[in-house]
Amino acid sequence: MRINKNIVKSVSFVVLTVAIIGLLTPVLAPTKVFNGVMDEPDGSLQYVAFGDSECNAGFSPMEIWKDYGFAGYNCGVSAQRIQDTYYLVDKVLEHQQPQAIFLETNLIYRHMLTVDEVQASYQHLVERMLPALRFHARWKQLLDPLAKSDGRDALTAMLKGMRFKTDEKGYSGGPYATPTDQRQRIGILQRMYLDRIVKLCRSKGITLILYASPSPACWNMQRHNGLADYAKDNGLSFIDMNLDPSAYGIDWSQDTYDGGDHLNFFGATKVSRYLGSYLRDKSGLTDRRGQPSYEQWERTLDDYLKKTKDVKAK
Amino acid sequence: MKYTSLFYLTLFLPLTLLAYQLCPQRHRWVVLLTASYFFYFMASLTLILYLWASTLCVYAVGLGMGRCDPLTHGRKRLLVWIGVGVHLALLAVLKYGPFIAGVANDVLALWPAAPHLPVFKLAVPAGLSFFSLQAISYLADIYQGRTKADTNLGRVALYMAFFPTIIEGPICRYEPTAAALYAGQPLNHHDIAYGSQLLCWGLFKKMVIADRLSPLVNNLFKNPAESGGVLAVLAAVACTIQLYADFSGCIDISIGTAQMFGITLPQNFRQPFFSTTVTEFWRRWHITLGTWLKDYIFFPLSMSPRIKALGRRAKQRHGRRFGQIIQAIIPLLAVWMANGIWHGAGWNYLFFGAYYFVLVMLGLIFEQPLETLAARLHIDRKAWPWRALQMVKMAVIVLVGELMFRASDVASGLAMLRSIFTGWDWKMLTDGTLLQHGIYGNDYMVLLAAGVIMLAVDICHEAGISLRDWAARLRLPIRWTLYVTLILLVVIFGAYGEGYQPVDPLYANF
Repeated sequence: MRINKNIVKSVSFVVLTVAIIGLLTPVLAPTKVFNGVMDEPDGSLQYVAFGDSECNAGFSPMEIWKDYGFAGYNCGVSAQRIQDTYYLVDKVLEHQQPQAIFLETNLIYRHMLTVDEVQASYQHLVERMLPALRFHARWKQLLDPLAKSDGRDALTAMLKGMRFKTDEKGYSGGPYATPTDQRQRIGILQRMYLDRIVKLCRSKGITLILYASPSPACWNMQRHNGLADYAKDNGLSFIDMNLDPSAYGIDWSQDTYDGGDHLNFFGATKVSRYLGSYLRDKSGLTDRRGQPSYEQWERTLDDYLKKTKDVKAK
Repeated sequence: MKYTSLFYLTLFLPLTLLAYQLCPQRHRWVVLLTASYFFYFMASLTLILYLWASTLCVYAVGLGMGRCDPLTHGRKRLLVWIGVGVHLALLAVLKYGPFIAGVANDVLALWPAAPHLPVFKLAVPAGLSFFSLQAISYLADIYQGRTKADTNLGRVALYMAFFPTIIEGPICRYEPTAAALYAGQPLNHHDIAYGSQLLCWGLFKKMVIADRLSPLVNNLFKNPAESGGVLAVLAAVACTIQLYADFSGCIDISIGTAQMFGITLPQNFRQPFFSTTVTEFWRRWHITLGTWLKDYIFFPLSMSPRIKALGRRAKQRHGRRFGQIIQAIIPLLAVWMANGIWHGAGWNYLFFGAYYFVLVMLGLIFEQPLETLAARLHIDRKAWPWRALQMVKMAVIVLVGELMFRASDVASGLAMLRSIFTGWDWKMLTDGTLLQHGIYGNDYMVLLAAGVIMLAVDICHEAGISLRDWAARLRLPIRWTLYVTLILLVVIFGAYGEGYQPVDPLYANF
């Protein structure tokens, strides 16, 4: 009887503590999360791009709007794991019904199955149940209103999520996608979440397009072969822009800001133009320019052109 | 796996407790050993092989010594040196290899024709410095007859690998610890509650104070040449508080975790900043290392026939006091050099050891004259103003020591020390300089509040007030409010997750 009483007390304490942490969520969790994509009107996006920093820095939705009139968003997040990406896709699809999703493939080979990764996945799961654990550091913003309006939100909205980097630090290492029959296996966790993204897209009738952004620092043929196998097995399109970057106009002396890891704005425009043409040719998206519900995009384009004009002039 | 991770706190530890309780008592040690190896594997992966090798070595050598004829002392001595030698060799190769090779190359460079030694940097298994000391103490205890060689490999393995102690200690002794680990006592509410209290308090110190200070300390020590006097003092204060909060916090987590299983681990800290002398400070700071060095280096050396003979000769020629000092010099030098080098392979660590050796020797030499002088001046050395003055003196000594300890090398540490006297600028306190080193106004506010709480708790403990007993006597609603508040402070103000760099326990690297 005594033991039971103690167990009841202990369990009650744990439940109470968890409940109180849960109650903190509305206070601490931000209303606007996920790189500003939630600010876009529901159902307005025709395509969305996901990935890590390779996607975030190397893909400009406004270039595609300018050239083809397709409304999209760059949801790339630096150092993002594929499990985080899955939940992000799931969250975004609650508000948007895109016809196509681009998934930049570098994150599939990030954070391979390690003990750290197992722990990170578990932590992610707990944080999803108790978002206050993830957003706990926002007490600073709640106490300091200035921290809320540092201008980054407006810039992110104008660039539709893209990270705007104009520095140039060239890559001079020569060809890096050397032909080989070897293939790098996709990790167990990565494959599990990739399968879940594929399944989610299929269930909603969305075309999932895998693409590998040009990156000598991150890519090789083993990875290409591994992913090509996966794409073939699952009937997915896979665009590997590393096989011949020059075909897309990539000039490694000026299109990267960190010596061949990430593309800069100039590289991003080239990648975006190609992916825009791919959407036009393969996905059946319609040009939304001139439509009343997309007037805001025209105004954003003006801002975008002003922002990029000086950079391009250089 | 980190003690502060969600994985440890909300999955690994609860599941281990559950499995431990559900298992029959005679098999509970298996649960602890399995959990310990899982924990260690998550921290060190295949380097767990070193732990297994060390365990087998200790077990076999221990058995060998146990079977020695008491009259054949030479064989026993040979065996203990083999066991100790294996562990010292492990430390020398894995931890000190690059340093030793670097020093050897510097010396060889004096001769142009001399070869250049290759410098290998091998992966170091987590907690090597801690489990090696435990292994050596077990073997030395068998050799000296303080404990018997254990024939149970499981018990030896658990002593070596127990997960709350394997990364940062406290450094345990075989005699009280191994039996408690193996006994498999059932869990009880009191131990779970008290252990959880201590664990939460450790999390508070580690995550709210130490980890929040981490970017500031890293920044201030990154560019020692740029630091002015104010920044050098801030660096010394910040790194001292960080080290204390980090190490004592992790030790509280370890002791609290062990207590949940009904196992009492030795204390490692006893309010060190209330010390009035250097020797007292080291009786309160990293206590288990201090007692280890005393028992396994100081006493054996000071009791060795040669040292005793040296002391006797000095006593005959220059008097009793001088004889005592001479007899203490070599053992103390060995202890402090071992203390310094145990913390890491670098000249700054040796400097740190030498610094405290000199201070201890000065204390020893001037102890009697100062006592005489104080008596003549009618100074009551037990009165609080005198004690307070001594505490301030100790604070300065500790800050200088930690500054040298934390600096990347001796030259950087000395440059920072010099800047205190040459580059003092009060404006730095108000012109925003302090906000340009990795933490901001809100962080300073949190640190100030948390520091006051930590100080208040230490004051209570110094006054002999057991806050845990006091909290346990409170009425349930008040008690729970207190506990939940502590947990919420950690959850909200802890420096973890997005926006923070993970900080490994500082002593895990030593």
